[in-house]
Amino acid sequence: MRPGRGRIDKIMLGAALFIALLGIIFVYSATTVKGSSVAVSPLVLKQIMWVGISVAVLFLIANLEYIYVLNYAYIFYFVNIILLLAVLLFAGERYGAKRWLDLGFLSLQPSEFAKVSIIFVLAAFLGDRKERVGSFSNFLFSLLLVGPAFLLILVQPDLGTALLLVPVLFAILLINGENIKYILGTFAIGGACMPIFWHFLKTYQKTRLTVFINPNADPLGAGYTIIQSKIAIGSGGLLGKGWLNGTQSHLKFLPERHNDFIFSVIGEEWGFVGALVVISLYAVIVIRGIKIIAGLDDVYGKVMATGFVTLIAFQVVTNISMTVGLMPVVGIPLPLISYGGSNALAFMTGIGFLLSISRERKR
Amino acid sequence: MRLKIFSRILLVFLVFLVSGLFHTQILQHRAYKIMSEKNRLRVLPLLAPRGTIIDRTGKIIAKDILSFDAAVIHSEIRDREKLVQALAELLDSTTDEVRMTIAKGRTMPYVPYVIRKDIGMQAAIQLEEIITDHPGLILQVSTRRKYFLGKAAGHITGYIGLPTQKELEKLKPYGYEISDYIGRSGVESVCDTYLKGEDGGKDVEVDHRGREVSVLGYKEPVPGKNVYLTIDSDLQEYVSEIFSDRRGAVIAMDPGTGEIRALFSSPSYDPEIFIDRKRQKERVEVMCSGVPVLLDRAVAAKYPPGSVFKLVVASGALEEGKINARTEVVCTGGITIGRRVFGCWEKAGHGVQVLSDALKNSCDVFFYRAGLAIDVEGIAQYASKFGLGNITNIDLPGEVKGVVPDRQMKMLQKKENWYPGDTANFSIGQGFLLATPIEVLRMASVFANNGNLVKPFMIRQIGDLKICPSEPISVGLGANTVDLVREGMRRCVNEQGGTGNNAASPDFVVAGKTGTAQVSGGKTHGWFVAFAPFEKPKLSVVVLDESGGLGGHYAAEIAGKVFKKAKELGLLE
Repeated sequence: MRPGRGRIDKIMLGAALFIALLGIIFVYSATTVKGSSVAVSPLVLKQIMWVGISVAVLFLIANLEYIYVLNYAYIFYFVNIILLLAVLLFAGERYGAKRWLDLGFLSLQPSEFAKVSIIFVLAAFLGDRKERVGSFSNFLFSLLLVGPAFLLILVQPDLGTALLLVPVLFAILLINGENIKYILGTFAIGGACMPIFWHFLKTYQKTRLTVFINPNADPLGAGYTIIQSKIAIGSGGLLGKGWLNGTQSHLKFLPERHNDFIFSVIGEEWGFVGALVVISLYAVIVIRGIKIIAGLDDVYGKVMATGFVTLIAFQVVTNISMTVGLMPVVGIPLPLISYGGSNALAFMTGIGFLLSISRERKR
Repeated sequence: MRLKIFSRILLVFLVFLVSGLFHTQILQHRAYKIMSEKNRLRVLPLLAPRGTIIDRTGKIIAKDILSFDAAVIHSEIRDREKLVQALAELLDSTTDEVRMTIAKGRTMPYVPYVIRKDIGMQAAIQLEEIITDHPGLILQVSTRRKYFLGKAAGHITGYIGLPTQKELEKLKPYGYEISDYIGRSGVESVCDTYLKGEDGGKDVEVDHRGREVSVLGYKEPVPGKNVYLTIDSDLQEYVSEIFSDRRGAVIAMDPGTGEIRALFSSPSYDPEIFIDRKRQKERVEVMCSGVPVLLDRAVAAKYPPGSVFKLVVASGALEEGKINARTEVVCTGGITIGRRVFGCWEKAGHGVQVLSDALKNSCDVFFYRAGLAIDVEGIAQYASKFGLGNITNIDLPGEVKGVVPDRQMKMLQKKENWYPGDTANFSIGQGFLLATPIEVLRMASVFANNGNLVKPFMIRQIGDLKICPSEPISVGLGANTVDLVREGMRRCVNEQGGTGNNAASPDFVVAGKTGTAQVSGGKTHGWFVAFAPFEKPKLSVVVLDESGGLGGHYAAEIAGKVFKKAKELGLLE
């Protein structure tokens, strides 16, 4: 161990563990069906297992020197690109999209890991070229690194995850001190290309956008989930209906309630107060993350920390906005709370690196 | 500096999120709470079964039976192909067909979509067995109307259908809903308000499939009242068997009370084709074939009665004293009225005829004379006394009245004077005169009921309420008149050479009158109206063989068979 390593950020660690606990509690609530005799859904046990694994991974990573991991950044990146290609070629469809790679004993979602490997590769690249900060080549190569992963995820199709890479990239470019003109210019060009982009959307994605603007256009079809989710959250009120007492979820009015729409269960059962608690926990992580960034000189660590903080913040914002009907449904899980192994693992990996970076303080 | 911009951006998002939640959970809480209650609290209608229609011996004619429907919930289907395979095997259908039917329900993925209605008890049990292997597959139970006599009693039962928007507006105050079947014709229509029960309901907490999780309130449905008919199912079925290849109508009635024992209009229809969506083709055939099938020819269609009308003319002439039992008319095959010759159907002539000969032989010349003697006013007066030209008020919908012409009517319609030739035609039941089979039957039954006119009916009891038959009305004939005509009718069937010989039976005495009505530019209608047993009549029967071209002899043969069957069934005792 290098000299000068500090202690890990216990507040951030506490918040993350608390979120993991909430995840188990609400996956339990969401999978309990009223009137059913099955006491505990196997999904809850699986979630507990994954949280356990993820916490172990977190401690492992937190004790690693993140800088060594970056030696493998390009390898991770290329392996991940290959996995994404494999998904397109070999994966079977689930819910009309190819996202999962079935390995027999478990199914992987390479797009979840792509979020992490993109952050690694950008950290390695920008850190290696810190003397050329603000150059056009720095900017262009960053775009080219993100581009293939972005496109491969987009065609799965997984619009939500692909779009998440955009704020991650630009936040990194912004914090790292890259040229603002390039960043704003890209936004301008991207905005201008929107109509062309619309043309390439799948029909179901277009439906989702239409339904976002007017959920009642198709109340029993595509708009159903949004309407039921809003009813769940809205009927929760200030204090909620109490844990396991949400009628929307227990009577199964709400599809995907243990998954992308788990926040609706929280909003219904714990009300506005519970929702604020959840948001606050994420806010703690983000605020502590920003503090870490502010205290860093090391470019590698700064880029990585920025990437993970942005990723977590935008995933939370997108997911919750979607359940409240403030954004179209894009299929992004709520980090660590929504059911899923890849989700928990990716999030805890991020937190692990943030904790590892947190030990690298300015003297 | 840059980190500050970044933090600000995140702060904006945080404010956006929290204010969004505040708006939904605090400001709009009340509205969403109501929506959530509505979601889970539901009044599930408990459909009241429609009343049963029962015949005179207690046999069921129409009844609501349980129907098992195979349905799917799209959002819960996991393995579509496996489900398609299983359903195709179960429903004995092709996989392509099942796949297409399932695909149709895709627009409403969260509510049950019926794949096949009424799959039957056996298939329902099989489906229940495989339901756990196929998520998304469910069995729904509903009721379906079953008509046990089917086509044999289509015009008696009528059929049911869902109300149109317009009908619903009228029926709403009486507690009808859009999903309530209403009677469209026959007894189903006449007794609709009694047959229809009062739906109950349950306040229940339901899950997303609408399945109940707990019951909060309950109101028992009140089943519809049963309707008891005077119809004899066996006789009705027999009539349909022997007559369904002809066009026309057969009615059998108790002449003393007016109770209808059988009423068959041909061609008939099976009422179930209007409920069963699979039988669309038959429905289209019924609605669109050139021959009106839904028309109840027994009560809602009028025809020239031909020679059966001679019973009325004979009574009139006797009552008015223009003829008596011994009045002789010589039939030479025709008479000349004005400048036209009016022939008898027997071109060779019948020779010397008294009234009962003339009824036996259906001699036209005799009745030309009798009719001319009482003139058009006299014939019309007696026709009306016998209930012709007026509805019988039978308890079936759509009854029409026949036409009894007179001078005024011809003047109004044709702008022509009434000629003695018109009177001659009138006398033998031709010309402008029209009557429905039920009118003819009621008229002839007067001679089986001591000169009294009955009101025909078939609904004898609704629920616990017995329906009293109306008192017969006397036509005002002398006993002698009735006896003389009866004698003529007896001879017509039982004496060698009588026109109604085909109806005769060795076991009991039938009395009747044939008719072969001319139709301009078409085949003749064959008529036969009769009653039996002669001494103590228990059943009167009318047969109309529409455009059959075979004449009254054929109609008499049908009536003869009906009497024989009635005897077997004990209806002549």
